[in-house]
Amino acid sequence: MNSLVCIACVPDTETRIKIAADGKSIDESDVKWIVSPYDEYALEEALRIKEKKGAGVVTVVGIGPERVKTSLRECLARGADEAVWVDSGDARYLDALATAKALAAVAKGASYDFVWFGQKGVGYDEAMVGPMTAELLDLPHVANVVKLEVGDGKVTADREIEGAHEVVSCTLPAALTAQKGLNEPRYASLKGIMAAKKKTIAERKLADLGVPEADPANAKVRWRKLELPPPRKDVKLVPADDPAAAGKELARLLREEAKVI
Amino acid sequence: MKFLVFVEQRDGKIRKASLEALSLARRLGGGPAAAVLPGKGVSALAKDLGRYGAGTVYVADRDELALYSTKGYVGALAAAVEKEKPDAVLLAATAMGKDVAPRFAARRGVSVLADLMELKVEGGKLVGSRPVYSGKARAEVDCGNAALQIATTRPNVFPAEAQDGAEPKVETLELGSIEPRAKVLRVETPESRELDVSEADIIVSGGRGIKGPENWPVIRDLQEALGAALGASRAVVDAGWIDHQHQVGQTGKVVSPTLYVACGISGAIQHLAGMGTSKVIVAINKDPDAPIFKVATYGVVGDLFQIVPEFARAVRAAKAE
Amino acid sequence: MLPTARVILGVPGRLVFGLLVLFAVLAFAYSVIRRVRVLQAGAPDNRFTRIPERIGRTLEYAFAQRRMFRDLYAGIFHIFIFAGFVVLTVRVVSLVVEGLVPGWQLLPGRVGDLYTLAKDVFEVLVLVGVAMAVYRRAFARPARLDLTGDAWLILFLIALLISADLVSEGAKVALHPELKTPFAPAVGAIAGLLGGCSPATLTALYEWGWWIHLVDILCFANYLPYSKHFHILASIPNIFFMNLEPMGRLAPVDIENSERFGVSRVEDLTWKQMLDGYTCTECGRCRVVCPTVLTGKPLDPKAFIGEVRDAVYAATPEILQASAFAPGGATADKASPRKELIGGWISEDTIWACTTCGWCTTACPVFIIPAVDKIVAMRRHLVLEKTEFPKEVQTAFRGMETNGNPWGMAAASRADWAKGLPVLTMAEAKGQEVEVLFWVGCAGSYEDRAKRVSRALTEILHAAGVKFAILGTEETCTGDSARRMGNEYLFQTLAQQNIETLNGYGIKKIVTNCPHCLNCIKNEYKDFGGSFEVVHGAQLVADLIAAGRVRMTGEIAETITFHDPCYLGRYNGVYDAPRQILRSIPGLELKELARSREQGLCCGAGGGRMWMEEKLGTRINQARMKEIAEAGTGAVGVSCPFCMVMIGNARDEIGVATQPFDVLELARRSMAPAP
Repeated sequence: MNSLVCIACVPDTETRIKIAADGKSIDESDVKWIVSPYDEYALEEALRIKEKKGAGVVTVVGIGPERVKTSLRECLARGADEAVWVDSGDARYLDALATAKALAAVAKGASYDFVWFGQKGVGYDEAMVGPMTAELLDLPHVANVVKLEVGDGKVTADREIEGAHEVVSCTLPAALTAQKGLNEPRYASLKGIMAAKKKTIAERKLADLGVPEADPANAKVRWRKLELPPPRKDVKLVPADDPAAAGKELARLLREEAKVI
Repeated sequence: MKFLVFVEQRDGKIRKASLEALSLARRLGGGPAAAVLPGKGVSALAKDLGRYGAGTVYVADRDELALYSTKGYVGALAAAVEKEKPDAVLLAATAMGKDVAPRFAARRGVSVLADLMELKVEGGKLVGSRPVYSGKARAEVDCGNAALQIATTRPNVFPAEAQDGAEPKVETLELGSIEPRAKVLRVETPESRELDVSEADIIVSGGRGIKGPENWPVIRDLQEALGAALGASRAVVDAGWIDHQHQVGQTGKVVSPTLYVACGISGAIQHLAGMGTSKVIVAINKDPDAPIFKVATYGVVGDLFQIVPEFARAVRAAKAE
Repeated sequence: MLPTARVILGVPGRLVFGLLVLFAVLAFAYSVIRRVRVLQAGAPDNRFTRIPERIGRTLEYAFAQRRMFRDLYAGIFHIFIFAGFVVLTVRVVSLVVEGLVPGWQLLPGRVGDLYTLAKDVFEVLVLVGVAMAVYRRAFARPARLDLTGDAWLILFLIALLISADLVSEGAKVALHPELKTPFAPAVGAIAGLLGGCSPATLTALYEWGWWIHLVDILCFANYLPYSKHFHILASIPNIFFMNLEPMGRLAPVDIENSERFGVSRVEDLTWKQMLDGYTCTECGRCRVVCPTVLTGKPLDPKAFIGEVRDAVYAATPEILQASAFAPGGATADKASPRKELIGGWISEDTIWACTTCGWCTTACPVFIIPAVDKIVAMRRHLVLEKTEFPKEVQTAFRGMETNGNPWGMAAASRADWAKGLPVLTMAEAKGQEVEVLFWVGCAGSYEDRAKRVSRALTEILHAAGVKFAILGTEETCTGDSARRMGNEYLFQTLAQQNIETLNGYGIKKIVTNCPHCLNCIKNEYKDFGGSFEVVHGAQLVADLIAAGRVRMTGEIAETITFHDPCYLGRYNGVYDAPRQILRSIPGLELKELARSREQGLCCGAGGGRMWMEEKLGTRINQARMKEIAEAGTGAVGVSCPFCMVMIGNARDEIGVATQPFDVLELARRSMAPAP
């Protein structure tokens, strides 16, 4: 069964983020780029489906500058059969719609049973591209998949929602976004790595794909400013002499300052 | 500015996150907003939305909408937008909101300001603030030249404000036949399944400082109060005080929750390697030199047996407000 | 008359004997040739290098048997038996010839007499040796020995053949007193004992003794290739072909040009690794300080090398058949009913259990490498080909790949430990003289305690006026853990990067606080174009103290032992420097642990085990900590960040008083302040 796996090349989660001079984007100088972790679950599932069926082609596609090719090769090393790089040229930022349109243009080039995404890319953290691309391709989609059973012409997917799972039946072809827990991504074997070095990555140009939103003037989401939160200060210590007060203060800080509860 | 708010309900209850979005829409719009409420048997819920900011509620009450489907629910939203013609659509960034918003946006040739933690209106345009790069930075965003502005709001950030006011106007939406290709067959709520550490947004972990497995109830009390998953350091797993599936660290699970509470954990590097990218870290340890304090956001140098129960109590109180 | 002069069952004795000898020789040749041909099917490994050195070592270790004497009792009885066999080989030849060609004497005259004396003395010594060996097996029963039937049979056959010869000769002299010679006192004594027997009895004793002696030898020789006593033949070549490279250098793989990676079948072993299997004498010395044996893990180096050997033997028929059709090498890839090497003979748990502490390698008297090289080779197969390894290892690999350290901490923060300290990076020190590069390492950069040790070293170096610099964020993991866990590709990627950086700055001398980094850069980077002089921080500081460039004046009143790091001690021979430092600190009283220096017990972190869960048996670090605590000192000195973590953890886990300190932390504390 043929899959198209859409991957995002994002900064490693350990990277310290620095703001670039333009105040709207990140300084890329010390950034280590990786395949977005959720995309790895997607790729792994696509590979497993192909292996189980004994046939099918897994194609990975990524949009961006030259560094995306490294990420694509990592996917080839894990077992993807083909790779497509959409050269974004001068475009430094693409909103979700532009990304989805570009991916849809690539997907229309062949017939896929599955179009895979990670549930979100850990760069922009939007979780939009998957469902948008599905809409543009007029495909049904299931997001946040943690379990998948492939049947005849349809799949049964467990979708993670707050505190529960929805069990969804979806016809094929379909778009799916992978959530952590779907599988354990494999490590690339050395043979895979060596073979991937020799594979050709197909190149397309974003400019040729008919995506007006790639032009910043047409973007449907614009980044006006990018800011760092105040630097991780030294730990804010809450005095412990009065445990009841300490408890209350912690709860207050978490609710009002950190806004996590 | 005219707002339409997508309201989510589950098991006959409106989700609080939708009420937050609705209140926000009223605040920003300077008056009641419109709302759309899809589901089955939901008509009775519509009038409750008035207190939170709804002037008009478009109800789509159909058998086919008993369980979520993209086709059904996005269709309902599209129909409401068609009727109301708002300037902006707000949804809560819940699992459902994150499903509906992008599909609808793509249909309309626009994008979404996703998972906002701040939102204001400037000159008829939405300007939001959202976390990016795993929360390490904040982006101020707007919708560019989008004809329709769509935004999702992060739950638990904006207040849901109930005010006295008139009951909303309720309109029924006419939807055609709904035959989704992706259908929810059922919703499975795990009975006693422990929330797994790797899936959780909040984790409370116990380390050697808990002194023995008989003291887990102290930690679990806080865990329940926070609705968290239970984690553990390698030391206590090795000591046999808890099962390995709870182990957080280099050789256990690597997690990145929004909130990590480390109780009686020193913060040796093997543990930090497993949770160091947590957004907010709270450390409770009686050793002021424990390395965990170097990475914690908030810390208490004290006896966890005294602090943790009080902390749990205070959390419950805060949540009840 | 000669025993072969008789007619036996109608056939002339000489003919019977001749046929026996012929048959035995052919059978023996057949067995040995089979064994050798299997070696030819193994992977290549050029050991025909540095011949004079090899000859010297063979004399030292195969003939003088230096390593055997680490166990004095065994060394003595073994050399008796060994020397006896060497001397008696001449005798055997002469008897065989005598049996075929009557009247022929191999060593006539004076030489013959001296030989007779030697033979006589050594036959007695062999019996003494056998008796000592029997006593050890029957009564002393050290844990390292397995009381196998094979071992008893061999001792029996040796005792029998010697006794038969002595009795036979004694009977002959009793029959023909003119043959008595002062050069054969033992034989003479036996002749005396037999004096009262009738000539018929004496003849029978003579002839039966003669036949038994020689038939025993013919059987013994043919039994050798199927017994642990094959070492009689294999050990001398095995020692001759020993690994002359530093123990800490693992053989590199040509990644670009290899089809297969690591060892998954017997044919993937090098001929030398197979020879290791042939040579194992089952003495069990490799077990004595093995951390996995001591804590109940499935890895037992003696059993492991035995399984390798058994796998080779089991594969022998198939290998020989394959090479018959494809001369020059077996390339059998077709599915065979053969038991799998990994998963069949050797379990994956066994392969992952090894800490590469090097004890077994240094203990082996016949210079087998029982485990380390073969285990790493098997791990290479598991990681590079099958991608099957403990889950948590992937976290360490990813960390090294993306951020240049197994913890996965941000690469950009590697130099944060030095913020605010007067420490320059090589980039910042441009133009200034740098005497030595301080290689900080991943632990020294990111791990809390190790960072303090890094800082301590920099303060000592400043006080001594040593001009040093660090690489800062240009440093990345040496790759030691990756290599030992079998990820040769990741290791080479990291190594090449580091070597390029180091060579780019023209670095010649490096100091580091991590023995693993030290071993890797010093012994392994050579294979990739990086030759550097590398010392451990303790060595450098000990030298500075000895040269008076820094003084230890502050008193630390404490009793302390020292836990030798495997990769500093056994692997790189540095035992004294840390002790010198400790001794130079006033108030510090140094005691030796029972198992220290070459016999130091591993802390359990090596071989990449630092990054793995320890699920089987008991804890290695706790076992070591118990020993340390038993010494009853207030402190234990360490010189390795991994040992520090393991010992520190063990202290908390079992709750003992002895506190670990890095030797440099103590040196810093005691250091005289700047004037």
